[in-house]
This record gives sequence, structure tokens and C-alpha cells, in this order.
Amino acid sequence: LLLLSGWQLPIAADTQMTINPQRCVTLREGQPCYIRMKLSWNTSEPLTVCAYSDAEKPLACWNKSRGAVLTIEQQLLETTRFTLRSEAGDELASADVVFAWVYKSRRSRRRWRLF
Amino acid sequence: VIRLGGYACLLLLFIAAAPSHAADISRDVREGRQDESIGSGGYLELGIGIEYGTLPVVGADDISLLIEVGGHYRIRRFFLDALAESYNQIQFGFNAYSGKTWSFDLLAAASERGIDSDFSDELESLNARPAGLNGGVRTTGYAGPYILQFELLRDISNTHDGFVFTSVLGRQWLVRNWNLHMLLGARYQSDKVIDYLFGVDLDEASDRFPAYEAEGGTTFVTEVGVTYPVSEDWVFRGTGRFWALPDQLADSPFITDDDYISLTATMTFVY
Repeated sequence: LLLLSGWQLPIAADTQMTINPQRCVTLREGQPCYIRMKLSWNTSEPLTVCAYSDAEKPLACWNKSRGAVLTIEQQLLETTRFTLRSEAGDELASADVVFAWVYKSRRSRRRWRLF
Repeated sequence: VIRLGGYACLLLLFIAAAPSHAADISRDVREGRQDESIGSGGYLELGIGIEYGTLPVVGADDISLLIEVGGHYRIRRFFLDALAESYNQIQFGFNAYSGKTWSFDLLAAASERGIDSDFSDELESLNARPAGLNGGVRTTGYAGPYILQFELLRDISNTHDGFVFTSVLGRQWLVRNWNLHMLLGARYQSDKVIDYLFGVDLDEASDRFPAYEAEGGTTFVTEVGVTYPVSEDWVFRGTGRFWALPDQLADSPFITDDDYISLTATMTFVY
């Protein structure tokens, strides 16, 4: 449920990461979805960490920091996981931004009740 | 004439491959091509909005509150489509062919909205002109962001016994999550259609509305619009249109001009 809602997934015990908004909605399937989001993280001890999207290139890095807020603008093509990783590459926290659209190309018949 | 020439040039673009689907161009240009090659599915739309228009009908209001019920539903290649924005208000059809670039449909459609005293109290003395049921064919071509649609409909309900031929070119743009579009259309309506809608028969003629017989003609429509997904269930639509009616329509006793504009904003719930 946490994964679906895009809320934080604490992997390191005291490292928290949140992303807002947690959904990116486009009109129809197949369109890229533009989103401007705020990624924030905090931890009890100073850490050297980097934030990543699905891509390997870091979005931003912080040196011996207890937390930060980062504004990101991206075009998503699918549900995307953002992660916070240590210098050693260990995943400390992650959060998903769910990719959604209004007009589905296929919906089950059960959802249609009026016609 | 210039617009039709542009269409002919763009036909060359339609040799290129494109995604696979089709419906009324007013829907496709906002929502993308409907996939008619797959099984059953669809959606219902309930919308509320406001319209400002300079409708050239005597006594017509400039501002209207809109409540729209529509949707698109498909059972294999059969489809039912209701869209207030379209000339074809309700249409039922069969997709006979759906290729990468072209789609071909057989249609039955309740088309023109008709004219009655809902437009203006001043029209109460005239007979209502309810929409007829038309049958015909439609072909739609897709090339990247361009959509080209031709439609030939004929009255099959003994309402006016006329026919309508429509050609519309659409173009989409995506700017961030805003879907922008433009439509350029030309619709020829035969003598019988125009006379049914805008003529005044002897049995309803009066000093206010003397008898008038209208001839067929072509209406040109230019539309620009924006569609924005507010959430997974709500869509905002904004539309501006300019109609250039056949010149002779302004001679109709209850028509005041031969062109008009409308600006519409709606919020639509998609189920």
C-alpha cells in the first residue's frame, strides 16, 4: 500500500524521504507526464548521499548533511522510483511517483454500469 | 478554398505510419485515437461548464450554463459515442477498417442540434426543428499530431432528406501536461438541410418571420482548444470557436449575422 501511494519507504532505520506530489496524471496513455515535485529527506546523523531517479545519474548529492529539500522537474513515461543512496551505493530510502492517465485505452466491462 | 487545398497537401503526410485507433475528430483531437481493434470498453463523461457565444439567432442569450453528458463505449468494432462538442451529438457505428494510418466507419448519427425555442423565446411562433437521424460513412487519417476526417451523412429519418459532407483537419500539441489542439473544418449542407434549419415555411410565416427558402452552403469552423487532466477523474476543457456561416444565411428572418464566436470552459468527470 505504501508503494502504491508513493509514500516514503524507510530502508535505513532513521532515514526518511518524501516526494510531493506523489502522482503524475496525463490525459491519455503513452503521453509523457510533466511533473514538478519536491523531494525532501532527513536523517539523525550527517550523511553523504545522492538522490536518484530510475536513471543512474544522480539528481543531486549532499555532503555530510542531515537533510535537504530538492525541487525536481521531470517528464515521466512510467511510474518512477526515486531513491536516496549512500556513498557506497546502499539504498537508504525510496519513494515512487505513480504515473496515471485519464482516458484508458481498455477498461474492463465490469466498470461500465450505465449503458 | 485555401483550407481544402491545405488538406490535399497534407494527404501526402498520411502515407507515414501512425498509431492505431478512431472516433469523432472532436474527441480524438483531445483524447487521442480510440483503439477499436481491442475488446469492449469505454467511459462516461459528466460535465458542467459555461459558454459565452454570439449566436446569431434572434433573442439568443450570450451566456449559457452547460450540463453535458457524454461518453464513448465500444463492443468489439461497434461503438456508441456521445459528445456535446461534436456536430454528431450521438453516434452509433461500426468500424469497418482500422489500419495504421486510416480508419473507416459506418455511422448512424443524431447530428445537427436543431433549432427551437430553447435558443430564444422569440422563436416560439416557429415550428421546432428537431435533429434528424443521419446515416453515412466516415474516414479518418492519422499522421503524428495530425488528424484528417471526412464524413458524408444523409438523412435516414425523413426529417429533411438532405445530406452533409464534412472535412476537418486537426492538429495536437502537448505543452507540459496541457493538450492543445486546433481544428479547421468545412461542412457543406445541402439545400434541404439548410432550408429545414433556417428556412421559414408558409405555414409558420408571420410579419415577424416572413417566409424564407434557404439554399445549401458551406460553413467553415476554426476551433482552438485546451484539455488538462486535473486528476485521474477530472478534465478541464477550454474551447474557442469561430464559425463562418454561408453568407445567405443572414437573410433568414431569425438569423442576425453570418458568423459568430463561442468560448467554452467545462470541468468533466470521467468514469
